[in-house]
Amino acid sequence: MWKLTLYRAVKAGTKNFMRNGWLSIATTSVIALALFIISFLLSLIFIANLVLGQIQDKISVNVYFKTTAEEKDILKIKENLESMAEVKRIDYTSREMALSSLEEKYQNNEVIIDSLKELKENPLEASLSIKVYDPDKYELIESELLAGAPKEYVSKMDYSDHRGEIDRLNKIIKSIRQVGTVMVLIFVAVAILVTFNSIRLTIYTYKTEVEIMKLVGASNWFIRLPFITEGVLYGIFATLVVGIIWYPLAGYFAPFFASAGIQIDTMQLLYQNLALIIIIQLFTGIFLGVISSFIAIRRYLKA
Amino acid sequence: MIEYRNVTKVFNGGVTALNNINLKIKKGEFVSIVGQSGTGKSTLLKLLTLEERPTSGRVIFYKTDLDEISKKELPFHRRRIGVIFQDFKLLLTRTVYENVAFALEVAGVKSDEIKKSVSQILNIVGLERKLNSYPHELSGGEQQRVAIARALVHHPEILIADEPTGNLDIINTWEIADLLLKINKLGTTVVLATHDKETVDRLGKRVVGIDDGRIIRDQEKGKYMI
Repeated sequence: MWKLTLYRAVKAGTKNFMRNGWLSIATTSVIALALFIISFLLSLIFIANLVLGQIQDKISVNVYFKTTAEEKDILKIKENLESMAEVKRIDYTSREMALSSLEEKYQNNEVIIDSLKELKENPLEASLSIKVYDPDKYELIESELLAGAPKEYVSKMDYSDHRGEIDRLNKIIKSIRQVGTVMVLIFVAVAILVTFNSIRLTIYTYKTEVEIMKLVGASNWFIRLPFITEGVLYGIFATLVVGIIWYPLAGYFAPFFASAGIQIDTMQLLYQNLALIIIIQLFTGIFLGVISSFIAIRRYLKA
Repeated sequence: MIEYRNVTKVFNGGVTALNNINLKIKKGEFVSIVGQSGTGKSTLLKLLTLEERPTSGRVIFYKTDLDEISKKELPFHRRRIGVIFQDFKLLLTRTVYENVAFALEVAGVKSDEIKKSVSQILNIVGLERKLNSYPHELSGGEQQRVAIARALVHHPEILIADEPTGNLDIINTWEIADLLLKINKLGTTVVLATHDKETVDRLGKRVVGIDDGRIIRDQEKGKYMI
């Protein structure tokens, strides 16, 4: 019997959705707007994280070793640091590699090439380029490094040069995450309120209908299910609307990022995460529609 | 059989709508409850559909003490009753057929059975040609007949009619009254609340007079008198 009831409820809900025309369009639009704002903010946080990740990745501490330092000692230090959980990656540049990259860089500049040739010995120092997961942890690396390596080996550490920038970047990352999360939460709350209110208006027009349903002996679920079906339909159509807007929007923003020198392809991101985005939007849309319908119909069901 | 035992109903505002009512209605009877507006007729009927519950006293409905019916059982109780109102209370977005079928759909009746029952009952009320009309396309009398069809389609034990002719002209009123008599003849108990003197006198059935929440008169084959 529940199958027949479910079938009838879904049918009635779909019929109501079609019959209500503009009311359905209005409610769907409100949910679509809410969905759009939430998606937009989430994407903003997601992309900001990607961008900051890229910038973070460019920051590293470079430790230069005096020419007297032995390569095997440097490699030992590298190995030591690599065993730390905080360390993401360490690139070693030997004196020879530094020289050849310099030569390559200035291969067309005869003055530099000639002056390099006049030196009998390679003047360049070997270096370690250290990257960590959390910029907060650079100080830890410094103390660990100085503990492991004799002071006379280290010629220069250009960590201190970046200290200010790293600190500033850290603050930006943190505040974007915090502000973004708070904004998403606020908008979700606003979206639920607005959606709830517009569905409540829709259901208000059914007040007499609900009264009649109760009088002829309809159970609460029999009354509720068509409205919940409508809620699901609002969610599905809102997702469709947002999807239609989303696609050209991603294309519109792609050149913007490229010109800002940020390696983020919004179209590619969209394609890669398409299934996930659709699932999240569909779930959020249906959730908004159903939960609002459920709350809105509740007061009319009190016997 | 329906029985009111010492039923009193006091509303939250302190208004006493019913005052120590004792009344028995036998199976298959046709009872008119008469009285001025606001004397408690509707409240008396709402105690049967459990839209209201008594402040004190008991209402027995075919061996069931209505006080014992829980919120969950309420829909099933209401399926044993058919109700019609002054304002018809039809679903305006549904056709005649859909309105009548709805009372069976809520009970989970299969579609082919619904089809059979609905066309049968629409024949009885004389609306077999208006299956696909919407309520706003019908006259007042026709709308009330749709409401009667909906109230009867699931074969209730009792039909409750609360001022069913209040919005109708004299001809339609008599048609509805005749239809109620016909339904009663077919075996359904009918309880009619009205302040329409002519209808009551024409029916020539049992009349219970109510004034200020009390029963002041109860006559077999009565007339409308206050």
